[in-house]
Amino acid sequence: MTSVLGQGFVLLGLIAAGFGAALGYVAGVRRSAAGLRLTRRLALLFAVAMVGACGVMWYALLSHDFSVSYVAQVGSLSTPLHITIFSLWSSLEGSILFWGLILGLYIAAAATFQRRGHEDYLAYTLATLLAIGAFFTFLIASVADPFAPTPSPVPVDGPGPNPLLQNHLLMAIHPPMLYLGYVGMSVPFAMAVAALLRGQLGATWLRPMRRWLLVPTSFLTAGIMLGGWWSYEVLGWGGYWAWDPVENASFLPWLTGIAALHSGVVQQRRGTLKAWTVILIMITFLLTILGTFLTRSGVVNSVHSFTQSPIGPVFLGFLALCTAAVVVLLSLRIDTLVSEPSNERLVSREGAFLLNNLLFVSLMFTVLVGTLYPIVAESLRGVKVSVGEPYFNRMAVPLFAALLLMMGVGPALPWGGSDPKLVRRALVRPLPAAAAALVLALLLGARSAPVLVVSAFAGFALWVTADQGLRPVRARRRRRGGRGPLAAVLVAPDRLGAYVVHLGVLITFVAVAVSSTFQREAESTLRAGDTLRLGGYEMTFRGAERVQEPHLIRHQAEIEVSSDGQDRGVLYPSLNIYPNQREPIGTPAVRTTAGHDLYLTLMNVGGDGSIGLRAITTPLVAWIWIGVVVMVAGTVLCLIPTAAERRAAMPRAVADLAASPAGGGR
Amino acid sequence: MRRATRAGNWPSRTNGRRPPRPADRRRATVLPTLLAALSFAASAPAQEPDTPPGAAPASAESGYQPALGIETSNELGDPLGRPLSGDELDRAAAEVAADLRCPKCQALSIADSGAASAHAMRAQARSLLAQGYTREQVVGYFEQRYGEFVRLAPRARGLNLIVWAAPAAIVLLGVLLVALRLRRRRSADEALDVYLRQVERNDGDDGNDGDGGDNGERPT
Amino acid sequence: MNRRVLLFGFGISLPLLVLLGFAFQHDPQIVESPLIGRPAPDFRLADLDGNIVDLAELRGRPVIINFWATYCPPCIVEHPLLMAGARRWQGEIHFLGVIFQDDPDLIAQFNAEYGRWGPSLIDADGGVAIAYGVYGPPETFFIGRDGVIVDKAIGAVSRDQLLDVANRMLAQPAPATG
Repeated sequence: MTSVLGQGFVLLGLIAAGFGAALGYVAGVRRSAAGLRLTRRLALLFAVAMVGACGVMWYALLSHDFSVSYVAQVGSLSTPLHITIFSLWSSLEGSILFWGLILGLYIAAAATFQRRGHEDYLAYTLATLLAIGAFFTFLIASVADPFAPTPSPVPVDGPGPNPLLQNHLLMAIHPPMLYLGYVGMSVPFAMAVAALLRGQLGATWLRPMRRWLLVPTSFLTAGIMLGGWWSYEVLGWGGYWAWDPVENASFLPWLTGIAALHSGVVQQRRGTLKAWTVILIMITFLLTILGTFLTRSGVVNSVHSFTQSPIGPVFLGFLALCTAAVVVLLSLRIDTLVSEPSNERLVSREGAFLLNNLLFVSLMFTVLVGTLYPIVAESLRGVKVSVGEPYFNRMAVPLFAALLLMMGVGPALPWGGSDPKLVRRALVRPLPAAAAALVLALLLGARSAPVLVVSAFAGFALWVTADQGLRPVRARRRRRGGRGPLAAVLVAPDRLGAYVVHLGVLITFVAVAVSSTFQREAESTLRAGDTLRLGGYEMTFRGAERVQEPHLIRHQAEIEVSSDGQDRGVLYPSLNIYPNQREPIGTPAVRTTAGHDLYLTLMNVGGDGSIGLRAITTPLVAWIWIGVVVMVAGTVLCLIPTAAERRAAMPRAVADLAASPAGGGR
Repeated sequence: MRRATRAGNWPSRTNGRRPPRPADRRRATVLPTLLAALSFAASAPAQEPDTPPGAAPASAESGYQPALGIETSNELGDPLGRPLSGDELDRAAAEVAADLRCPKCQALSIADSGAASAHAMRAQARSLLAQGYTREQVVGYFEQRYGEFVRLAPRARGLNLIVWAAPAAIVLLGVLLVALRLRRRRSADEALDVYLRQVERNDGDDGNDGDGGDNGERPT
Repeated sequence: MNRRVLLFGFGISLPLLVLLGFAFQHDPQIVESPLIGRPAPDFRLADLDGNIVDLAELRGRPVIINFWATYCPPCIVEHPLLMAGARRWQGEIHFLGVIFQDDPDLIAQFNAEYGRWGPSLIDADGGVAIAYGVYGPPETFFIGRDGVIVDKAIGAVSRDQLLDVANRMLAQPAPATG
C-alpha cells in the first residue's frame, strides 16, 4: 500500500515535470502568458509530488514498513529515531529521492521568487528545470525505485544504515548541504539556458542569476566543509581532506561556480565576459552531474561511493545528453550574447579577474585530470594506478598559492588600471602588512618556504581585504558624518559581503596551511596507568570499558589529559563494533582549543585491558571551520538587496499591486 | 598461551610487549629480534600465561633457529644506500609512508591510516630504511607486491606523464588565451578609457551604485 | 553557429564521456597482482601448534595459500570449499592458511568449531601478507610445483576457479631436482 502511494507521487511528479518542460518551452517560444502560468503551476505540482513522495518514504521508514524495499535495505528496529529520519539519504535509492525533493523545492522557489518582471526568461528557466526534474523522477520510477515492494517474505527486521553514517550527527547535515549545493546549480544553469534561448543577458537577468549561483555555491562550501569535519570527527585518521575521488567531485563544481561568481562581477560592472560567465555556469552544472555519476556509479575507488548499480549507465547517458545539449546550444546561441567593448589591461581589476578565472579553471582541470586519470590508465595501459594526496599537493598547492596572491592583488587594483602611478601605489601600500605577516611566521617558528610564502601573501591579502571591505563605511563617514556604519553597509551589502567571504577564505587558507604542516603524532600500547606524552600533553590511560548499546558494542577508553601540570579533562576515544560489520569503527575524541586540537584515536583494545592509542596534535584546525562559517556569513550579506535594488523593487511592487485585479501577465 | 603480538585493530589479546614509547609510531628496528623471540615463544605453547610488559623472552635462545617470517633481502637484493637511524630515519620513513597507499583504505596513505595492515607496512618500510635500502628500493618493494596502485602519486613516465604535464599545459593554454584577449582589446578608444577612470573615482564611495540599470539588453 | 565552441566543446567532452563509458568495464575494487608468473616469496612461519612451515621445503608439490581472518564474511563463505579441496587433493596439494591481522585465539576457536583445512600460520608482523601484496582477506595464491605463482583469487574463491587452477597445477611436470 505504502509502495503504491509512493510510486503514485513519483509518477505524478514525472508527469508534471514532463508536461511542464514541454509546455514551458512552447510558452517561451510563443511568449504565451497563459502557457507560463500553467508551467508555473506544473512546477509547483512537481514540488508537491516530491514532498509527498519523500513524506511517504519517511512515514514508511518511521513505521518500519519493511514491505518497502528501501526500508528493508536501510531500516532496522534497533536504529534510533533520528538516524532513521536521516537514513532517507543514507543509501542510493533514497538519496536520489531526496535529490528529487530538493530539486522540487528549488523549482518551487524559482517559480515563486522570479515571478515578477522576468516572464520571457522564466518560461525557459522552468522548462529546463522541469526537464532535469523529469530525468530524476524517471530515475526514481525506474532503475532506482525506493518504493519497489520487497519480494516476499517480508523481513521482520532490517540491517540498518551504514554504520559510518550512524556514527556522527554531522552525517545528518553534510549530505543535505551538499545536495542543496549540487541540485541548486540547476537553477543558474536553467537561467543561463533561458538567456541563451532568448539571446540576451542583461543586468536584470544577470543579477538574479548570480544570486541563484551564490546560494548553491555557499551550500556547497558548507557541505564540503561539513564533509571534511565529519571525516575529521569520525574516520579517525586526523585529517579532513584526503583528495578522495568523491571529495574531488564535490570540489570541481565549487571551483567553477566561484569562477563564475567572479566573472559575473566583471560582467555586472563592465558588461563584458558575458559568454564566458554563461559557459562557466554551464560547466558547473555538468560537473555536478559528473560528480553525481562518479559517486553513484561505483567507477572510482572511494569511501563515499554507493555500491555498483544499474544507475551508472543511465546517469552517464544523462550526462552525455546534457553535455551534447549544452555544447550545441552554446555553439548556436553564444554569439547572440553581445558583450560591451572592453579595454582590459593585465594590471587592472579586470585583468586580475581574468587571471582569477584562469587559475580557478586550471585548478578544476588539474583536479579533474587527477581524479579521472586512474580510469585512463586502466583503459589504455590496463594497470590500476592511484592519484592521491602527494600528487594533488604538488600540483594544486602552487595554484592555491597563486589564488591567494590574486586575492590580495586583484581587489587592490583599480578598474581600468590605466594610471601606472595609481597602480603602483595600490600595490605598495599593503607591503608592510605582508612583511609583518612574514616576520610573525618566522617568530612562530615557521621555516619552510611554502609556509613563509603563504604567510606573506596572506598578510598582503588581509590588508587589502580589510581596506576594501571598510572603504564604503569610511567614505560614508567622511562625507556625511552622521550616518552610522550600518547604514553605509546597507547601501551595498554585497560589497562588504564579498570581502567578508574573502576574510573567511583567508582564515581557512592559513589554518589549512599551518595545520597540514605542523601536525605531530605519537602512538603506543598502554596498560592502565601508563602515560603517553606528546607536545607538552600527558595522556594517562585509566581503563577501558565495554558498553553494550542497542545497535553496537562500544569499547571506550578513559584517557586523563594534562599539560603544564594542569588537569585538562578526560577524553573517551572509542571503538565501535557493529553486528555484520567487518571492522570496528573508531570514534576519535578531540580536545579543541583556539590554538590547536588534541586528537585521540583508539587503535585496538587488548583482551588483557591494554589499548593501542594514537595521539595527534594539529594546530589551528578549529579555524578551518570558523573560516567557512565566516564565508557563509559573507554570502548571506551578499544576498541582501542593495539600496539601488530596493529602490528599483519599490515601484514594481506598487505596479504589481495596481495590476493585480486585472490578473497580471503581459 | 601464545605471545604473538599483533598489530590488529580488532579488539584482541595484546600482551603489551611494547612498552609505551612517546613520539614513536613505528617499532620496526626491533622486529628481527622480536620475530626470533616470537618463533621461540610460539613453538613453546602453554607457558608463562602472562608476562609483564617489556619483559621480552630471552631471544638468545632462538639464535640457533632462522627467524620466522620472510627474508626481505631475498626479494630485494642488496641495499643500495646507507643504513639510516634517528631523526633521519624518522623523516625518511614518514616520507615513504606518505607516498604509499594503504591497501585496505580509500585514498589514504599508510602514514594517515590507522588500519592494522598500514601499521605493518609502515613498520616494514622503516625497517628496510634502517637496513640501508634506499627510498626508491623501499617503494619499489611495495610496488612489486601490490602493483603500481600502491603509489599514491603515479610514477612520472610513459602515459603517466599526462597527469603530470596536464596542469602546466592547461595553465599555459589559459595564459595564451588571456594574452590574446588582452592584445585584441588593447586598441579600444581613448574616450572609453577616460570614462572608466571617472567610474573608478566614484567607485570608492558608493559601491555598486554606479552599475545599476540594464546595460546589456539589446534585441537580437 | 559558432564552430569554435562546437569543436572545443565536443573535443573535450567526447573523449571524457567515452572514457567514463570504459570505466564500467573495470571493477575498481580489484587490483591485478603483479606477482603472478613470478616465484612465490619464501617464508617460514609457525602454525597455531608451534609447528614451523617452510615454503621452500614444500617445492615439488603445488601449494595453495589462503590469507584469511575470522572477521571476514567471504572467508567463512569459502571455508567449506577449502575443506573439500584439502580432502580431495590430500597428499597432492598443500593447503596453507595465513592469518591476516586476526587474533590466533579466535582462529583456533573457529577451527575447532568449523573444522580445519590446513595449518593456520601466524604472520605476526604482517610481513608475509606484505610480501604477497595482500589487500585484504581473503586472498588465495596458487603456487605451482616449481614455486611460481600461477594464479590468485581475490575474495571468496569460486569452485570453478579452484578446480581449474588445481588441475592446471597438478598437470605441471615435476621440476628437475637440483
